[in-house]
Amino acid sequence: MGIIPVLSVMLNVDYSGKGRVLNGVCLDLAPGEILGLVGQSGSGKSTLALSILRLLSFKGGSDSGSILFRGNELLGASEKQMRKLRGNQISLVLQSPLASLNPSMRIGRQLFEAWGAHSNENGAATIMETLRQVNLPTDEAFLNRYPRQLSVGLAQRVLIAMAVLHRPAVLLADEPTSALDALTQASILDLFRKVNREYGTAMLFVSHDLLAVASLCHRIAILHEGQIVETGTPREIFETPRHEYTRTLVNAIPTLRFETPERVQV
Amino acid sequence: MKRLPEILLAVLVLVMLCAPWLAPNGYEKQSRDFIAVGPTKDFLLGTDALGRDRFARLLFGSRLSLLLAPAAAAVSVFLAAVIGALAAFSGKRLESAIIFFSDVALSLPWLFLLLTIRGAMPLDIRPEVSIVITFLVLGLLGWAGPARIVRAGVRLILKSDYIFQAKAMGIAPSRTFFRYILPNIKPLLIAQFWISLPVFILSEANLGALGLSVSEPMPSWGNLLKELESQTSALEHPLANWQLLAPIVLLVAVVSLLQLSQQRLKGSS
Repeated sequence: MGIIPVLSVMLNVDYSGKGRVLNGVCLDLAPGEILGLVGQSGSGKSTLALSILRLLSFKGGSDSGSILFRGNELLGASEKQMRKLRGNQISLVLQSPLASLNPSMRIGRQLFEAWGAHSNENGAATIMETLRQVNLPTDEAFLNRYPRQLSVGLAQRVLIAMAVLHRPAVLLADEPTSALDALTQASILDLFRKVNREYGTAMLFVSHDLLAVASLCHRIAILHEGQIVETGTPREIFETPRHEYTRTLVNAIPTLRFETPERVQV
Repeated sequence: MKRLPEILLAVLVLVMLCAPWLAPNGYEKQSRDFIAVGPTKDFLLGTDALGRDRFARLLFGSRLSLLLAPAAAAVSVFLAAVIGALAAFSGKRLESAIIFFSDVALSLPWLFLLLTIRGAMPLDIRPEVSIVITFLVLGLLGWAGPARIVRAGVRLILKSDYIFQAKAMGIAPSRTFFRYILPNIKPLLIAQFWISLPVFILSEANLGALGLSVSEPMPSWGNLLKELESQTSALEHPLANWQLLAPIVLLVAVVSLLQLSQQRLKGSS
């Protein structure tokens, strides 16, 4: 492959008290690619996203290795340089949408804050255009709402709109659909596809939900015990899993058999 | 009707603010011909042992207490906000130092401290100075409890997802503080302010009963209560001498109204 990856990661991460969480994790993200990162809860999936944004110390971890973003090493970058990248070139969408919005600020104001963090120009046109892209209303009444007046699905759309406001090269999504019901989850997955198609945003989609990941991603990486044990297309992962852990994961997906389970006689 | 306690409080404050017009004779004018008389048309609550209008003294005394308790509460909540936020933001060492000092402040026998401060001052200090000192000391002593609550609140906010999201969006630290932290700590500060109000009103009353509050001839609720000491007749025949009990009735009413309006504050948040 002659494509230069937009993001290239080789990482070790330690948490004080917990020991090594990621051990020599290697990942390449091609421009415009959606890469799924699947692993159990507590396997260090989110840690990877935090480390890329250089926000690991916020949660009490330390890392070593190399993070190349467009050929620039992020591991030694200053906080000032990183702040210019965050939300601008690399953005993040978190798991709990309602908790991720400032409870005392109106939705519109928050979008303008996200815009103003990286631009001095008037962002109204871009914000409205982005809101339309993520299928959100653009009227005053909606923009004047507070987060507590939103449903989880709407809140997640607002967060995605904020994340793609500056048309980042990379979007890190940390379990963005785990807190959503099935229908909302499907529509949010659709939205990620659309954002990827419209803006060519490369995505690292972190999740424990193998099915959701398989339906969305170009490639899947399986994380187990701090290491990437297998990488492949969804087809490869499902049809010819090579690693034992991958097989366990694939087999654990419930299938519909339409057999009525026997009732326990009381 | 739900806002009744607040409305009544507002009316009371308004009446007290009108004291100079409602009682044009003032709180210190002595009427030598009317010493310790009962209620009359001119003196609605009678006069005290020095022939001063009890009604005027009650109005002016209430005005003082109702204006200065909020001032003391503001001083203590402001200190609590600064100290609490500093503790939450700072490193481990400064934080434990602040916690230590707030522990010490909470375990101080503040009554003795006040006695010492007042004792160290000349007896004939001007009333205006005594006002400032009384409520400044109350305010300065009241910061420790609220500061701990502010620290806990700020820490909770710092750990929240929206602060993390703000960081991940590249929002500058100063902006994060003024737009994401401060507005979310505001309800807590307002609650602390309201909770301290009745505490300070009662503290002033306690100090006054010991003669350590605002100095004569200026009236305050504390000073007015102190006069009750020598009025044993009021306690023996409360109905016949109802005018003497007016300050205590007003004090209890205001503190109760404050407590009532607080309950809703807690319920609504």
